[in-house]
Amino acid sequence: MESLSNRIHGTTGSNPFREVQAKTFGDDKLVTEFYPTTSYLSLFNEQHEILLGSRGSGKTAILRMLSYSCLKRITDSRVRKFADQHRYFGFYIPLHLEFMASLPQDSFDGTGNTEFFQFAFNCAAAKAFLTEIQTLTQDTFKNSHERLKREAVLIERISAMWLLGKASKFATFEDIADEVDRMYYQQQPWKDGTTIPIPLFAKHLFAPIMAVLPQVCRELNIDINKTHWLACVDEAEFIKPAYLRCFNSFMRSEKRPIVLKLATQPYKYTILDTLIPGIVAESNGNDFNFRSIDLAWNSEDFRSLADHILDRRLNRTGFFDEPVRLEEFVGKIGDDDPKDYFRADIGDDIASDQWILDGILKELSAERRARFENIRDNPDRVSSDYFKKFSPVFYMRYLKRETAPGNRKAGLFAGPELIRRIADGNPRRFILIMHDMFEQARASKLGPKNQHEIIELFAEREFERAAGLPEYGILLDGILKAVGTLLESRVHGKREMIEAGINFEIQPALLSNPVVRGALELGIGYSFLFVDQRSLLGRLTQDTEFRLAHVVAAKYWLPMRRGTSLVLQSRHAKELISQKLLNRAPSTSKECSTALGVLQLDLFEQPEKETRT
Amino acid sequence: MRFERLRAETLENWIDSTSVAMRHKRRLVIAVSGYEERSSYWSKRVMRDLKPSDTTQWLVAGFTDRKEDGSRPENDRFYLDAGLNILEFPSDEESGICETVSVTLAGMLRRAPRSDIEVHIDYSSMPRSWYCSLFRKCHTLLRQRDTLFMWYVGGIYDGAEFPTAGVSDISLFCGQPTINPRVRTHIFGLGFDRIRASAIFRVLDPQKLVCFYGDPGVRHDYVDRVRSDNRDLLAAAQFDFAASIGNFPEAFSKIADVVRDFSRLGDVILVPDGPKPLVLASSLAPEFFGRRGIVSLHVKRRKDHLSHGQNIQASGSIYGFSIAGVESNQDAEIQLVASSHPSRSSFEQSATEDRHTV
Repeated sequence: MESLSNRIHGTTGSNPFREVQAKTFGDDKLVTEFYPTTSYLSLFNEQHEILLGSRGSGKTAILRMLSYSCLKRITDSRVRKFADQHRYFGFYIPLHLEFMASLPQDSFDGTGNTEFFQFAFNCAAAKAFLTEIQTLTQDTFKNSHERLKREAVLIERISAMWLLGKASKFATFEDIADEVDRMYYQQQPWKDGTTIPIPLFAKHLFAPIMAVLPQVCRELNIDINKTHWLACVDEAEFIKPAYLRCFNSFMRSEKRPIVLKLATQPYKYTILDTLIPGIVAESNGNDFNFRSIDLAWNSEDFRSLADHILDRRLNRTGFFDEPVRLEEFVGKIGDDDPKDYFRADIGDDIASDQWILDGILKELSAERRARFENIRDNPDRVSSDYFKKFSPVFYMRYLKRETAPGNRKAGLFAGPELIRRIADGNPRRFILIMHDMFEQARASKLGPKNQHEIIELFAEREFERAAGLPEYGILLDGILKAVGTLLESRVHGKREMIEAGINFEIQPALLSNPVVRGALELGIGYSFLFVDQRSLLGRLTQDTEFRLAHVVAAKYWLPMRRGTSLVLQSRHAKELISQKLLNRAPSTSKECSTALGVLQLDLFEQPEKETRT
Repeated sequence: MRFERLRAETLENWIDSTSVAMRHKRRLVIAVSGYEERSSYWSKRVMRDLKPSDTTQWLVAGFTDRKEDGSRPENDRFYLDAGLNILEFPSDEESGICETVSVTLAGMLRRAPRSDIEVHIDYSSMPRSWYCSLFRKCHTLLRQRDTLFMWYVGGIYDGAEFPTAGVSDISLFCGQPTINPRVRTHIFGLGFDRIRASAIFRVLDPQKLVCFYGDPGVRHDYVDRVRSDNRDLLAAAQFDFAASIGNFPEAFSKIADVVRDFSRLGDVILVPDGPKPLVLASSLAPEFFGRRGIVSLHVKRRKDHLSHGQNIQASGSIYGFSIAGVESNQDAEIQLVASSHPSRSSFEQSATEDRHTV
């Protein structure tokens, strides 16, 4: 297994995978490292959209790359098409926690302060808009004399509209931005319904921008009827429920050419009410769409994105002149199938298909072994019913058992496909893994055993982080441990091997407990759990099929496959589970273990009736 | 905001140096009767020299909850035996204690306008919202000739487990962020609250991270414990630094220096945690600079309903500092402001003063 990683052996210098967040990047770096996925390309439309993405899925990168300043620099032909058309002009509005926390809090959910929120948001939006207008002006008028003339007109028009009576004071766009700042900081918060001192900025969302857009377009020679101004709102998970109503009102009332692209974590966009009682914003294309931007680990998009990030980061080290893909960097064995790594670990000469099949049969129940005799002469049935079904479980059982004494290392969790699996389609998780791989490659050869060790350590560390997640983290950690241990005992605890995997359903009564639901939603938001698209965009239901993250599967040595259908259940009556047990999120691990001890979770192959009260 | 005559104090030196002048000063002593054993440690040490009298007024606060937990009954008994009433306030709400202190202090200033006043606060067992707000309140109300003393008794934290946190627990304590800053630097204080620090880290998802912790710690093994408990955060940090909990002015200067450096790049968001002196120092940094783009966040501690309050014992070390008041008008009528938070305009006003001294 030859790999290009050998080239960095013994080198020093900074690890190019140290930076994991798009928000730390300058525009140049962001543009260089950005890979336009299918979902990114499909955002160039005139539909308001709520983008749902787990932490580290690339929400910030996508929104920043929609802004005009970044979009214009992309060379990828699929994106250039949109950039050159001059139909979409994006501006990026981050809503940081401290900005949201600085707003008055007369009530827990923000009720009573929506007008001031609109004012504060409009100030932020106006500043973001000005940044892009400035760049757009520079790009539109190459002749400096003409540019200065147009700038002066724009500045006068905008300031006259936004800052009544002060139009003559401003010479640059920055001056107007500073004045917006000043206006925001000097404005005392007010309660809804009292006097509104700044009419335009306190009106509906984007009112100041709507007010100046016709004039801006005219001065910039843009046909307002053919353009869409993408308002890219980031970190919307910090927006209080009452403030979400402002966004719903905006989407409901059709304010094109401004098109809202708002990014948040799954299940954080909690209400659809508008500011008008009884009127709600409707999804499914009526007023807006929910869109998931998470990538499947085995999608072409994620494969290309991972290769792109890897290539750009390695390129910075100076050790690689040619394009580098993940396959080439870490190397692969055979077809990059778990069987290839298993055979390499045991020894190709020993671990033939027949040897593996014999091993599988030896560990199956007597009943299954007997059934095998009936199909022994049918190679297709042998392959599908025995080899394919049980070999992933066999590899895990065999190698865990073999390496348990600690006298040798396994080399199963290795290869490019496995790395993409562990990353689970999450770019940030991929970068974190590659950080560790890079460090290892500098110290020694990046063979399968070393890769396996890195993945095991990474899985352990990543799993530990679940408890440190906000709000329901401790409960999530408890649930993951409970499910992981139960699945582990199915795979490794029994003498006879059974078909096993990492998918499961959840008893409806457990799902109806808001605290359990909160923990599960958190797990999805941080890529510890995965659900189908429908449950991700809508809500968790009794039909939702959950899958443990592959990183959790690696920690417990679980086959990274679906397995038999299992249901996670509590042994208590459903009334108790949904209403009385666990009526608040445990805040310490002691509280959590008590709560989970009371719940008595177990996995059942068939939904089992509640037996106890 | 001016931070004048800020200096480290030791209890012994303070008692020695002030014994002669004891009778000429008016003193307000603020202590807490809580569930921690150390709640009464400082009071027991100073009660002999600072007996309640015409010139020395004690104000002992107790929490309305957890009255039977830990050492609360013994602490209550100690204060009651000393003839002091215990005024009760909810531990998660600072406005009650702040208002009571304001009224008391205003009364002292009114009754003895010519006397120098000392306010002593033992904040060892106070929740952070109490001691940070009390500091701001007293610092603002006291005149330049008066002195505010803050005393902290180091604690033994063995096996303590701390509750997690969520977005709803995070609030802005001090300062104002800018709109759409180019760069944001988060400065995290680290302590034993590993789970909580990690939760806050995950919520804030810092762009640039700087961490600090107390070193030397109350006990020599604490530094290693903090570094080990918070290894994830330290690995993610651009750099980390240590600040002494024994020397508040030095720790404050160190934190302020880092804040100043990073504020050149953009916004600085302080997330205080760890030993109380460092929580106080980092909470107040935005007030010191008094300009937009430097803020401190407070994270409310959740109540763990299963376990009792941690009965923290005193380590035996007492760390203190003193600072002059800021009220410049010596005879000014004390304005009683119920709210502990400055209005946006008053913050703006302080921003323009730009008269910083340490």
